[in-house]
Amino acid sequence: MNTRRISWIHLLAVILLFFATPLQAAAEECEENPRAKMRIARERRARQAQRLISRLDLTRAQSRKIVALADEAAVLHLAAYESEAQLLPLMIDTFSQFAAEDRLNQGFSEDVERRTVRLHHRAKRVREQFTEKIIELEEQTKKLLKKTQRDLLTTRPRKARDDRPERNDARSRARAAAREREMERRRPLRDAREELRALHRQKHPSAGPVGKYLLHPEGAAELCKQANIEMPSDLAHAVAVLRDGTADFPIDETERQKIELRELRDEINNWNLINGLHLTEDQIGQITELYDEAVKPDWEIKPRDRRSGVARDAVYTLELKIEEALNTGQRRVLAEFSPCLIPPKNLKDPVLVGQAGDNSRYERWLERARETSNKRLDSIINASLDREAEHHGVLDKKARRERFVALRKAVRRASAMSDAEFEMNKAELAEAIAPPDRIQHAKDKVADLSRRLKETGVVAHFMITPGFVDQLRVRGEQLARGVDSERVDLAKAPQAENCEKGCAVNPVKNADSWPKKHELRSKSD
Amino acid sequence: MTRPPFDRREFMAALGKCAGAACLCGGAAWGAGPAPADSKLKFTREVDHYVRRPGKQIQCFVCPLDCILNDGETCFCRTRTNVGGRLYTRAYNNPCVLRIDPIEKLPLNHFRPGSKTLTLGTGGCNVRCLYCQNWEQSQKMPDQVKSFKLTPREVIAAAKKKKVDTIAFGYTEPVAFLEYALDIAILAKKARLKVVAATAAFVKPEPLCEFAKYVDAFVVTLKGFSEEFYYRSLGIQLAPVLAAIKTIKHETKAWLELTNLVVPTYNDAPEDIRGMVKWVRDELGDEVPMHFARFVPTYRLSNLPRTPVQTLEQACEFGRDAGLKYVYTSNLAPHEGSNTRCANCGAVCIDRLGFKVLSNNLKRGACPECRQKLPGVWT
Repeated sequence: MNTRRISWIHLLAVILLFFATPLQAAAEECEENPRAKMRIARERRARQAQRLISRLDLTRAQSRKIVALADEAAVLHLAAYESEAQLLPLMIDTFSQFAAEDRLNQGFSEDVERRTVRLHHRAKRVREQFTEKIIELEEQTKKLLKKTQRDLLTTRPRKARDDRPERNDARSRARAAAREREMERRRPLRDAREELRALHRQKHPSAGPVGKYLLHPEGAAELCKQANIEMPSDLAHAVAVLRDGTADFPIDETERQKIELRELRDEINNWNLINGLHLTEDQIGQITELYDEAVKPDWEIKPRDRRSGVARDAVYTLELKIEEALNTGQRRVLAEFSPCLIPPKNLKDPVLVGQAGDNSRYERWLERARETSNKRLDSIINASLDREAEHHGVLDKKARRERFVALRKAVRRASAMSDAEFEMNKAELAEAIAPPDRIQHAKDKVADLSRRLKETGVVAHFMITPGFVDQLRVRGEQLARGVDSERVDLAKAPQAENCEKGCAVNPVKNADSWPKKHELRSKSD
Repeated sequence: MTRPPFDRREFMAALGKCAGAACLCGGAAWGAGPAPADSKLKFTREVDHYVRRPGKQIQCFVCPLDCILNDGETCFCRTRTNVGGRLYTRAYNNPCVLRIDPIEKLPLNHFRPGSKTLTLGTGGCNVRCLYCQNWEQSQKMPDQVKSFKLTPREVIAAAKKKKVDTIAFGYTEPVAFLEYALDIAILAKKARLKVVAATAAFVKPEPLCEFAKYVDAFVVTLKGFSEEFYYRSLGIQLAPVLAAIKTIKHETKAWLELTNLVVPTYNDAPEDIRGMVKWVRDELGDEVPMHFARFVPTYRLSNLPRTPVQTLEQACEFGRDAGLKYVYTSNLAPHEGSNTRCANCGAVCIDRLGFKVLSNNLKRGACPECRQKLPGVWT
């Protein structure tokens, strides 16, 4: 009996070993191989599309019309893909130079910064235009759906587990009650996170599930398969390109470049944060030591790991320790940090660091508006409100009207002031009219609730990652090494003007521009 | 049938008149923008320190340049002009900078921390720094920049209205508008306001002492520590600056802090910085706060990078090694170097984020931990 059990265990171990080795190899391959990553993403998308199709329970006529729209979307996908593929090598080249300068933390050369900004905006425009058009198609698709189907898009699908018959023993009831209590406890945090996400979505609109899954070539292909519809030519071409690539669309190369670009962006984000925090050598030593102590070689922190209880608690403990190593100002900077390519003003200007926001835009606006005629003022305010809507989200009619009145009142106040008075008060006026930073407010709320619920926060999110810590080590080495600043040859450098050939400047030729005798005040006056 | 008080035509005519009048009034009000810089100097005042020479020539004695000017010529500082054998300032009543700032921005860390200043500056400067951070104002004549007409009395009234109890002269060089600054300072003292000045201290002792009588604190920018650097990169000499700093420290009652903008490859040589901090300790004492500020590429040195943080930290280290008790980094936030620590026990007495005071833990000017008094003006 005993022998038989041993043999079973042996057999199980052999089977596990047999499967585990290739599984692990496959997992490692996924980490490295862009094609494997693509395949995983594609399969995930197809699964989501499948689920959506089965939930919506589309009729054949609906499916046909949706496939026709997906065919249009396929053309957009290919066009966006092509534009992106053209930009990628340029972006990698420029962003690499930008990252190299960021690493030195001595500001950016004008040329590199300008090229980086330009490429970033070009890529952003491509993305935005594509999203805009997909959203348009999504709206058209939604019109093809019945109300009940449209409602399904906004509700979460019930999990399969919930469909199982509930066990009614005391233990299950207690477990369910505990789960319910836990959910209730975490509800404010969940709501705050949802609010933050909604604000981000308002700022950067994105397609919904229909645009994301059903109108994506992969999802549309699934729909064709399920509804037994022949794929239109553009859609078929897009599917072929996105699956395996073609001679004109070498997908492997593009995916590799995308990954490289993503890594570069991560690197730049990290440098921007490291540069903004101005950590001292001691602080860097302390943080890296804490990280090394907490993170064992076999325990690699990834977002996925953070979800498991043990890792989450460990990360939370580590976060508290790292937070202690930071000073108040650094904690404030971290709370306000958003991943960025070009560091914002409040990350590099010592006047603005830790301040709510940079209101100089509103100071300049007030300066212009107070000089504007009454007739043109309304149109200026409306234009400003339109611009604001792009950044802070669209206001409803009543809120817009209130904001309009507030702006007009501020401009009238500014106009009534003398120039000197306005100069002294413009910062205050600008602060009063600047719209509240709803995103920062929501972020602060999430951070506060996370701390109360003992959940990880921004420190864990931005600083407890292998990439960040590696870069921190590089900065530590830089600080330890010091700077070998070669002295410039002052004789060959630009020379300041001096009094060697006489002190007088700009002798006045035209005596008319001078004041009359009676306008001058003498010492005895 | 009774006639209405006015018919439609009369009503429309009246409405038109009203609208016209409203437009005129409104237009006048809305059109009143900033007045253009006046080419005629209506706000001039005669300079105090100069001598007349034959042939309507004059010699200015405000700064060590001792400019000799013919009729119609303007001093190196761009603010004082010989008008018919008399020297007048073009900067009087003509501030182009008018801001409410934290006092830490000057930078002053040991003088009423956390308070606000009404800071004024005019166009013009008697120094030609290649890396001037405010060159758009300082390297022009007062009437070449947009300015606000403000008499000394109006400055005091403005400060009171804004509930600011310190008037500061900064952004540009107060020596260039010394007459204006002096008159404001005199009135400020009468109104029980504090006066502070940020200067390069390239000024003769007499005008300096006269001005210093009314000044509560000076921040002197000691820009480097070699005559060659001063001459080639600023166009002036170092020796008079050192003499003026010693005068402020030993012959006036004003509080003194020093600042040095560290320009990569120009004035960041370790031997220069060591020499500077040693001079400060020997000539001024170890309690004078010293700030090392980060350079931001601008003006004629816009090709240079920002000062590496390591260089600033190293400069602070040199200061501490030399025995200076209060060494700060400036223009760098958030950084440990902007906090005031007790020289005795190392406790954080004032926690700052950039120019903002996060917490002031001083108890009557003493360390909250060891009760050691910290030098400075705390109330």
